Amino acid sequence: MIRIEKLRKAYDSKTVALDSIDLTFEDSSFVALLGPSGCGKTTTLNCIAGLLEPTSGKIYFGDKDVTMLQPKDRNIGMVFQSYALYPHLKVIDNIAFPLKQKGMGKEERYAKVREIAKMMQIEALLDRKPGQLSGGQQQRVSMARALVKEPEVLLLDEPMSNLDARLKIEIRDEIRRLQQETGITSIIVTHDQEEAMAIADKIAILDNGRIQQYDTPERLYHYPANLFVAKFMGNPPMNFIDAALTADGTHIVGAGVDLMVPEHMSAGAKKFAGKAIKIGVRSHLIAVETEKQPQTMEMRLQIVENLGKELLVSGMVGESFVRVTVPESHEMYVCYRQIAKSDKPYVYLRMTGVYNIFDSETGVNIGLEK
Amino acid sequence: MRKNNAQAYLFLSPFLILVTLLYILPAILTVVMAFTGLDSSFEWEFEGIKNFRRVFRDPNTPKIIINTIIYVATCISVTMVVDLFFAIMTTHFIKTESTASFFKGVLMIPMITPAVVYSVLWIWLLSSNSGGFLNKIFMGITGSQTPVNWIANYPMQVVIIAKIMTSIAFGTINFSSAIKAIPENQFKAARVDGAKEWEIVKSIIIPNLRFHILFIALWETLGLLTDYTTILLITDGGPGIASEVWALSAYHKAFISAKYGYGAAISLLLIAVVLVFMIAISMVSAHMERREADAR
Amino acid sequence: MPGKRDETRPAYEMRKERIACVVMLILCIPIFVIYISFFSQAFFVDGKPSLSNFRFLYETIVMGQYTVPAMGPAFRNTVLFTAVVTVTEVIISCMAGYALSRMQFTGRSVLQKMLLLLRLFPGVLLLISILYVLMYIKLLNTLAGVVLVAIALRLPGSTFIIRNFFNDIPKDLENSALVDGCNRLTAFFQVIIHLVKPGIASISMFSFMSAWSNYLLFNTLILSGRTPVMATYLRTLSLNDQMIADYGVFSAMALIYMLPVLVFFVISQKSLMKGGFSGGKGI
Repeated sequence: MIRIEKLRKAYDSKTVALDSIDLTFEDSSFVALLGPSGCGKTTTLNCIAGLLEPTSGKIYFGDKDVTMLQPKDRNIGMVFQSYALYPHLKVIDNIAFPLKQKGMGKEERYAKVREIAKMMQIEALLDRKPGQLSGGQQQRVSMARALVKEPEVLLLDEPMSNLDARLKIEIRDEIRRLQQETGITSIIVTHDQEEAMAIADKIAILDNGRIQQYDTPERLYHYPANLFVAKFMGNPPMNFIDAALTADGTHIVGAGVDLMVPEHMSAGAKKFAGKAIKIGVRSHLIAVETEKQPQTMEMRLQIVENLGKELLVSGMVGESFVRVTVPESHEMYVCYRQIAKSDKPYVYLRMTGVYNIFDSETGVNIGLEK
Repeated sequence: MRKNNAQAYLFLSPFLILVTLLYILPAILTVVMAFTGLDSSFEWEFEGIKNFRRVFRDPNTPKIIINTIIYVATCISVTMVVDLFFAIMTTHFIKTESTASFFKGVLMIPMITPAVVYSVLWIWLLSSNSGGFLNKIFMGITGSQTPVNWIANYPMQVVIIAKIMTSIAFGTINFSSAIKAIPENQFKAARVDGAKEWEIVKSIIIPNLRFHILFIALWETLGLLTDYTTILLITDGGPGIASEVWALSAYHKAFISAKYGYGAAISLLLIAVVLVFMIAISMVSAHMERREADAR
Repeated sequence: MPGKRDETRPAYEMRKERIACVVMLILCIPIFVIYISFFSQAFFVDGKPSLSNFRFLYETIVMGQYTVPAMGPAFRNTVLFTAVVTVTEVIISCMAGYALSRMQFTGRSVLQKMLLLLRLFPGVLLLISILYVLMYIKLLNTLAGVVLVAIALRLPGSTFIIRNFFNDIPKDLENSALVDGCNRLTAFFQVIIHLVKPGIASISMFSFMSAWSNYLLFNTLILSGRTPVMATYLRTLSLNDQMIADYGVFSAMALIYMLPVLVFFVISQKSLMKGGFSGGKGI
């Protein structure tokens, strides 16, 4: 288990890259550090690797305090965004490099390299030089080099950002498979939330040097801790509708909105009673009714598109733009279009699944408050 | 990155020792020396600005200044034009790598010739007797019976041409890579628009190269002001002071007449001018780096 | 070869190339003619082809009343001087360049700025006081003194170039080596230095050519009368009327002197052409 305690990295009084974060990485788990540029995810990774010295705080590998150890003494494997293969060495020597540093003999080294090359299906490339490899091949060699020394933890720094879309998905699956086969604790830094969702067991979202939420992809997707996480996760992005809580905290009201606060949110709603909020709901968790019904939101219909696998119905709820996706149906498509053109172009949106409410001021997810 | 002063300064020490002792220290000494009457007795007597007054009162000084200006101005203007011409020839028109490299190589020959050999080459070429290379051609063409003492009669012209020929390669190769770096699209667009060769040179190549041209011009001027070996070896500033330039006069005063203080003063005046150029080059250089960084 | 039909290039371009080649050839002719005429004198005696001009390699020559001093010592010294200067300069500038590029230390930015300054400043202007300093440390008039000066004056330029080469090495590469089990030192020798080989080749090249041809330093820092290296040796010879009454022997000597330069030049054509080329000037 890898543990980070109150890790802080400040370059001077104004530039704080990491603001005292705590994280635990379970053995054999795959954790993603996710966030926009400058959020501190790469700084965290570099501290774990030992390439950066933290200003304060501690890092533990199991029971061992490794905070002051040099990278070479931490038994880690790392894959870099640029792959960082040694251009003057052949692939076989690139992969064998860490073993050479350990003092392993040539025969033994090369045997291990061939073993792992087989696993990664790059045997044919062993005699080439990095300059002769494609991006995807370089990536695999880079992974092989990181894994050949059987490290305690595998660190990946945006390893797929230089690959084209299709290759990304292929490699992503490979990495996932590899991780599960070897059971090695892995930490990946990425800015691509889709990648993180697909590959990781747990995701830590960072912003401005602080952890916003550390949870499974599923919970991040459905129960984001605040507006930042809600806006960041999921493609297409979540819809946000401006509204407010009634003074007694039992109803959500707004332009075209009158909803009862769901049971599990009532505690939080009481706390934030009377405040301005944003309703956050996923496009595919809304049903469209043509007649006004209780517990719905009124939307002025503007655009109706048939995307083949679904219909995209968008419009304004109050001052907020909302996009809804519903199952494809030619009938409904025609129906909606007629409504849109009529002199009363309104439809009524009903929540069919999870939705959240956030305090407009602080961004906190009210529903998660106790 | 961890700060490690001990390790860093270990790596830097040989550099720092040598440069401080034989570069920075002499720089400071030169300033001090200029205000003394240091000579072969090696006694430091402070003389205030006596040396500088001597420079301005010396009747040779105006001539030397004019020589320097003529030398530098002529060399730089001709070199710039020639460099551009050769660069365009060998990069824009000749696209075959091997041929272009061959010609650039030939242009480099005067530059790599050791100064001593190069000067003898010119002396032999311009030999003043009738068997001299140039004289044979000259007398053959004009039918004249008297050989010309080229070096004695035209010292400035000779050193200027000799210097230019060694300076060509540097600028040409520099401009050549700059031309190669111009995005192909600019040329394609111009050709589609029906531009003729001269138009392309004027409107694409030269504008793209303007900072390189400025940089090379400043760099070369710096060299022209301070490097006098060619002149020293061909004419030694003569006959008389016909081809004496400022830097050479400092050399003569210091190393031939052993008037070290005086020579230092002359050098100091030149250093002042040099510093101006150095600032200019740094600014152009910094600007070019910023442009490169922005383009990435 | 220009002239052969190249499917990738339009005819008008090929035509222009051919014209340019002709123009260049014509303009280069003077260089060829002058150099070939001069150096061919080495192979002729009294108008007849002969190799006797090269007899200075094994016997003492007498021209008129002038006994030509042997070239051997001067040549040996030139080789020694060039080797010492080049190797030392490369080593010191690599160490300094690496530190400036890759290490954090107090005074780093000050040193970086100083490097730029020193690199641009023409050290020639300081010869007068350099002479004084050498005299003070009792190295005036010695080969060792000139060696130190030659290195010192070229160091800023070489360090600047090699530092830029170090700068260009991606950070990740070094980090990767550190993660793979290297410390700074092993990372340097196993990975980094291989990546700056072109830079090292470049500065060695320029250092060699500059040291081999160096005249001014010897002229000023070694008292006249002595001719420790080829440059001063040939210069002294060239001032002797009897010596240059017939350029045969002199051009033979000059040819021998230029040979290493020409050889290196041809070998390194490719790397010199890359246009980086900012270490060309110097003493």
